[in-house]
Amino acid sequence: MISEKRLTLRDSLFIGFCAVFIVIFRMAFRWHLGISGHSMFYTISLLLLARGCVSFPWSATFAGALSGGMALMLGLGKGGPLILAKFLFPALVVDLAALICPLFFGSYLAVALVAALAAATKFFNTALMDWLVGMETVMILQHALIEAAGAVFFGVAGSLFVPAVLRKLKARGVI
Amino acid sequence: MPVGYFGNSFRDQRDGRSARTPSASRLPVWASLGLSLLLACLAVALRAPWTLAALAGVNLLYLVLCRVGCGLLRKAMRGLVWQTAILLGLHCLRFGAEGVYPALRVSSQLFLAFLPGMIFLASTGRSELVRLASGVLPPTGAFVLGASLHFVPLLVREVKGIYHAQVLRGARILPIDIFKPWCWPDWVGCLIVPSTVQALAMAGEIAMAARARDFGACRHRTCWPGNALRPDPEREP
Amino acid sequence: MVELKGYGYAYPGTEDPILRDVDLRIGAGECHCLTGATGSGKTTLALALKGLLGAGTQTGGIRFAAASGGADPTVGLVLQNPETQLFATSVGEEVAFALENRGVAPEQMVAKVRVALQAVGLDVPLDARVSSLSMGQKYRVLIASVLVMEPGLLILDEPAAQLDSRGLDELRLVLHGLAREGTALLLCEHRSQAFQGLVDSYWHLDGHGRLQRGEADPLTPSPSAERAASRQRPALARAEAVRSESLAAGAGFDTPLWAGASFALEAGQRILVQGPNGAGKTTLLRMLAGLDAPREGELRVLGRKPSLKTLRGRIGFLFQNPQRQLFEDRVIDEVAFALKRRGVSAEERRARVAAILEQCGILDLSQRSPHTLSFGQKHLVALASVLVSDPELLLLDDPFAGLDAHCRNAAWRALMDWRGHSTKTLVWTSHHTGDGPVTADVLLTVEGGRIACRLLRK
Repeated sequence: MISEKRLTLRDSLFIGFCAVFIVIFRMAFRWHLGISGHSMFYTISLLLLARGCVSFPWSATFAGALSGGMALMLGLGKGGPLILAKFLFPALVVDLAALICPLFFGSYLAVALVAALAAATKFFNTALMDWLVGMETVMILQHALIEAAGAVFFGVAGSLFVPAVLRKLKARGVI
Repeated sequence: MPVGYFGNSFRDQRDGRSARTPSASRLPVWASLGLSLLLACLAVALRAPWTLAALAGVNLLYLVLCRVGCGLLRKAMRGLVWQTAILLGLHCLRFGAEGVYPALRVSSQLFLAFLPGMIFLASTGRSELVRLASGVLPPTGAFVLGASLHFVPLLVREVKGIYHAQVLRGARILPIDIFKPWCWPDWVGCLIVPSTVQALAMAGEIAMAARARDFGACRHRTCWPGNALRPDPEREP
Repeated sequence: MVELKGYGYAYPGTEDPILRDVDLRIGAGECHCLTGATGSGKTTLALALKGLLGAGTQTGGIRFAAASGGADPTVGLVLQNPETQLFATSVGEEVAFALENRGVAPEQMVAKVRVALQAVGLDVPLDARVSSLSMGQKYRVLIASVLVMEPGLLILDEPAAQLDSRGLDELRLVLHGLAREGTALLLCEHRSQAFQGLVDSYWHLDGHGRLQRGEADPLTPSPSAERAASRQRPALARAEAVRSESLAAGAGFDTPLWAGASFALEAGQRILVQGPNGAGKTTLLRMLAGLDAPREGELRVLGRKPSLKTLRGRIGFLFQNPQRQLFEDRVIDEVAFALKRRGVSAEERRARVAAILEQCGILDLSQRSPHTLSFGQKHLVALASVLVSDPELLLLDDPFAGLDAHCRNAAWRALMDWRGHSTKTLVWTSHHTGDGPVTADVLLTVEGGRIACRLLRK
């Protein structure tokens, strides 16, 4: 989890699976019920799993890029190419956190903090989109904060099982 | 070895899909992708019923242009029925009787947002997808994208098998159990962990199989000519 | 063609080599069969010959005779699980995968693919969907996808595990043809008797990594298991375990998988469900467990319409690859899980778990992590974890797939000991005729879209 830097084909394929599941869950749970940020539940958990199970330093980013590309191809989400940022920003936060503090996966608190930061990047995506459509600055800030708050809640919720999963996988010698 | 020595019959699939991979679409892949993206974006942007109806018509035309059989549409409609039922239930719970129209509208929009992507994937062979992706991704990335999409249904079947096995053993992972926090350890231990292990194991098997057929031997992978072969010159008059 | 001299290999992080001082010579056109218990190193040897083993400790050497042109002859390897080796949608694309990897020009691919398909006797269009082929045809596609690399040595890892009788017949003919044309063959196989008449030499890997001359496994079952089976034939109870009327499978599909199935199974019977790959045996079992809904017809299991809710706790189901469901840290906890969830007291749990582990012959493994056990041992742990809750109806989906003779017999002994003189109903599937030492009371044959029920003994 810490020292191996090479991305093997097996690890790439596992990351690919995580990316595909992000997209599948995104497709399956788009219910437009006005519940902000629920997609972060599975996005953050799968990005954390991708990085936690694979020792390559940029595995979450790879997963984010793949899922963003697939979402773009399948036309999911508003904003066309901006959908890439929706997946890449949280993924970059996860990878950067792992670079700075590789052991954070062992702590529920640390994982929750990283998940919150990763999910909070929704603020910038929302703000950018609102700015592009010509919203007022105050409205942009309010809207982006609400979206980010929802995203953080669901992102943290989705991250809470990851340390337990990784601990069990490590105990089995799988990772 | 004489050709045709054995029983070489093969049948159309039980889900209505032809036993032959799709004929060459009338659209080039890049155009098909562009159209699929445009239709999906329009499904999100348009709200008025008549615009959604017009969009449905355009999707049907896209289906015909891509030469995808009606099996796909039948499969998609089954999903639509379930989705509509769930959305109606949820919207009515949240908004009461006023939730019916929004639920129906959202359901149609969701359906029309997914349908172009499904048509694109059904009409585009893996090699064409990989060829398209190879334009922007390195060869390994393109292979990973194609293989992940290809093997996810198998992984889902494996996860379902694990789920059923655990439920029959008494694991508290029925859908109702998701709302009971004391059942969450069973979700993690009995389902998520074994499923993650299975995903890693499957990734390892696929990687080994790919390497057994010399994947990685050459920096510049080529691509099977694919649908450019149709009609098969040695089989059809 | 290839020679191993004093070859040994230990996986990274392990001190005990899995292969030791292996001496083996395979000439062109020869067919060798490598047998051995699960975990003895057959697949490792296959991977070593293909050059796919990762970092580890290697001793000795592998030498290939130069092929024409001075290049090392290629080794073709078909691994155990066909499903994770089929990458493509169409047959042509699948067979061409290795050519893509080697950078062969697209315009040259078609001819090479046709030659490879001809070598395996598969005359299907190049754009035929791989998913529409039978398992036997898929396996031949896999062999073609390796033949397209023009290997001098072809290695097949457990080919008989996935194939039914027809698939095996087709494979034998293909292999005969390849051997005649000078391709060397190495079969790594538990069921070595499946290739009698084709194999020139049998080899056996013992549990310590040493290779010895071997022989084909006998077809007849082990005497002890057979005696156990004949001793434990109980008087049959009259209660009905399963009743079906005009049952059809394939809900949600355009055509049924099978239809018109009407049969009644009594409690206490042993029912063998047999049929070729893809016939619908597993589907029948899943319907009995309430996991799949019938397309039409009536089905009653233990007196009720089957569903997860109604049958949970009353039936046991051992799925294919049961080791994937193992999750606890100790064998004893894994086996006790079902009893814990049912609220059985700790003392009773301990006693029942010990008894079932004893029956399965794995009591000595109770404190070990199930994830460190061999394939066969994991299988027995999974079986114990299902038997411990003493179900009224036990469903086993291809319970011997991938097991060596020793584990197979252990599993059957455990089942018969568990069943004893009780009214427990046992249903198992197999695509091999004559599989397992136990004779059934009822034979359900699933073939050609129908299910035929035959009472073998009253």
